[in-house]
Amino acid sequence: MEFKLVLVNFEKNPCKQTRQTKLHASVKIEAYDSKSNRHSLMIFICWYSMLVRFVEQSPHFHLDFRILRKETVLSFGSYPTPRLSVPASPQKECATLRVANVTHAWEDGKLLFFDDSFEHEVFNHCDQERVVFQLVFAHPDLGTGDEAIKCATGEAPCAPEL
Amino acid sequence: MIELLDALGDAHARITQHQNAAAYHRAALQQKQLATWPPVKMVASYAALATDATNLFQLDEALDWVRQAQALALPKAGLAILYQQEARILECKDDYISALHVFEHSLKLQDAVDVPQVLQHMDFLKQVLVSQEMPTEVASAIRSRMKDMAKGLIRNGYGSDGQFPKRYVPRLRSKPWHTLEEAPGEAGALGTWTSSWMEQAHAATRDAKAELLEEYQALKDAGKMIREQECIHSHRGGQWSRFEINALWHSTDSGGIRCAVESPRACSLFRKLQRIGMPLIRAGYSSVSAGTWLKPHYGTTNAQLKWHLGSPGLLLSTLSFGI
Repeated sequence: MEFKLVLVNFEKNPCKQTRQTKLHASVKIEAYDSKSNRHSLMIFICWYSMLVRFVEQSPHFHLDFRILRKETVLSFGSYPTPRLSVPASPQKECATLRVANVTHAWEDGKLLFFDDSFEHEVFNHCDQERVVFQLVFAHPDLGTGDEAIKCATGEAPCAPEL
Repeated sequence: MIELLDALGDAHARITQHQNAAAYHRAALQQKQLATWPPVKMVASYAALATDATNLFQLDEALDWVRQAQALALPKAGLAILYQQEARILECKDDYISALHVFEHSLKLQDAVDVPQVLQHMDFLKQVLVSQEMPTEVASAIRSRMKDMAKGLIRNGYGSDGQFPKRYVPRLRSKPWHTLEEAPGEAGALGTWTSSWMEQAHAATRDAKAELLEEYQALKDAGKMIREQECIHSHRGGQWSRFEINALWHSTDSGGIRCAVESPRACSLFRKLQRIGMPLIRAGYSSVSAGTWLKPHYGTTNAQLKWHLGSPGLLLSTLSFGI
């Protein structure tokens, strides 16, 4: 069985069991069996420094794992599986943008297209800076002319039919 | 003379020359003190100096200035404004609990609370919620207050929970993420991505990536990236820097729209996209260093949408994403 650890979101989660928590995250573990069927389990973790502790668990698991720089180690505390070392590349998805409830990491050649009037936040957990070229434009429902731009910037009232 | 010093200070502040702005504002304040102006007339100088110091990230000094202003005999409404300024400085210091406390105190000095203040209040509550360990009951109480505020905003014309920009334009289709291929019937989908400019603009932007990367490196090497002054990012982490190609303070080229001479490639793309018909408002490079956290926040308005293009090619591994 192959495991893949995917960091999908950072958010406030109930991390009551430790006072050391600095960041909170939700992590999806995708497990692939021999028939390549994918099973996903969404878990919640508290993250402090490079150590990740699983604190809110499903009734059937007791998990404790660490994310290391070059590999993710999963150890199952009370389960017979002694230890799983899963190659992972946290640097690949270490800079993320969450808008509303969906988080995306930058992918080469991909243009991210979003509405930042929804709640959003950015994390850069990479070793290096992350750079973007940003284009801001009037909402297409406003049209394309000067009036659209003036409405979008608040320089002029928006058309009453909107 | 005093008015001139104030005006020069304000002008430098507008073009992000905050050191100069502070020097002029300080000179104006000294002149006012020599001329024995009544304290109430010096409030603007203290507040301006607090703003300058905040923009220079001299946050203790900023607090000192704003508290000097608060010590003057002011009417309640004026004091409320200064407490709100103090709250924003405290937020910049990542002291969210104090920021919330001071902000809520300021609201008690006012007869009514307007929509921007409700948004600010929600923002402070959220910062406390996401940054502090607290008993479950306290967290629930904060969430409950935020929910009530959100309901109030929706009653006042906002469209949906979770979308609270400072300026809301009703009846625009919206959803958090868009794609070029989204189905027109999907909730919030714009369905206009087949419009003449969209695909061409997308292709032109992607084609410019390598050139933009080179230009970014040149701007960075020349020290042209400016540290972002908004306190959206946590100061305990990394820095957020930007180069806005259409900003007021740049020397501009002669291409019609305001565009910085230091970024000819970005300006060229900007004009090309305009010719294609894209209703562009502004563009620029944005960089977040390692360890940066831009805290949960709302953009300025739902009347604007954004494209983010990460830089590819030569330095792909170091250029991925920002805001």
